[in-house]
Amino acid sequence: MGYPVFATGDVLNASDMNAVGLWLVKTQTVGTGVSSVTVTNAFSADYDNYRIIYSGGIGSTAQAIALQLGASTTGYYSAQATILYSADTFGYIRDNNAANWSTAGGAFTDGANLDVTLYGVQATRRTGLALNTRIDYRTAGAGVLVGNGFHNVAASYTGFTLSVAGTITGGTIRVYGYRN
Amino acid sequence: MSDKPLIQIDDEIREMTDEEYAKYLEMQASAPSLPGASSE
Repeated sequence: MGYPVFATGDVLNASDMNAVGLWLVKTQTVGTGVSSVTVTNAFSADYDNYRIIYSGGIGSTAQAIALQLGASTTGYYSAQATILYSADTFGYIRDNNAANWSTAGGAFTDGANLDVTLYGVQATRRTGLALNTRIDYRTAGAGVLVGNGFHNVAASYTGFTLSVAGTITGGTIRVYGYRN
Repeated sequence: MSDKPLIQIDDEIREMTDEEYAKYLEMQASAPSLPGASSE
């Protein structure tokens, strides 16, 4: 099946628009030198699953970007496997009933980024997490092989918070809803 | 000069309150080191 290609002045058919799979629902510019960024009204019952992408910013130093759902500070589980760019050295990061997903993203002086998919975050059930990527901009850094987890609290959330130990500056957080 | 880190809530940026700072410290208490040696 092909996809529609629209031109200026075209009538937008409901059948075509209702087939759009990803919709930008919230954009938030990150300010200068902040240690915590809360994005409200990001999730609603319009979508079961969401993707959060933060890009274009920088970190004060190499540091993890933690992700917290709403005001929940418990019940976060995750595991991610890593390998160094420079050697066959594997590593891992785990969150075991933690206060947040501690390393959902990474901030570096050459770039800060986070790319996750949340499953069921707006429903009153446990939220699933997929770490789509976390790009390490250090030549002696590490790539993420795989990472996922869940939040062991059956609750609905409408917003989230990113936080770092130092600061982040600039860039944009974008929240996309996957069409049901 | 700020004594506490800056918090951003949507478009509002300001210094953290005492309560927010306490919650921030809890959030960062278990922050791991990123794998790989720093080359920055």
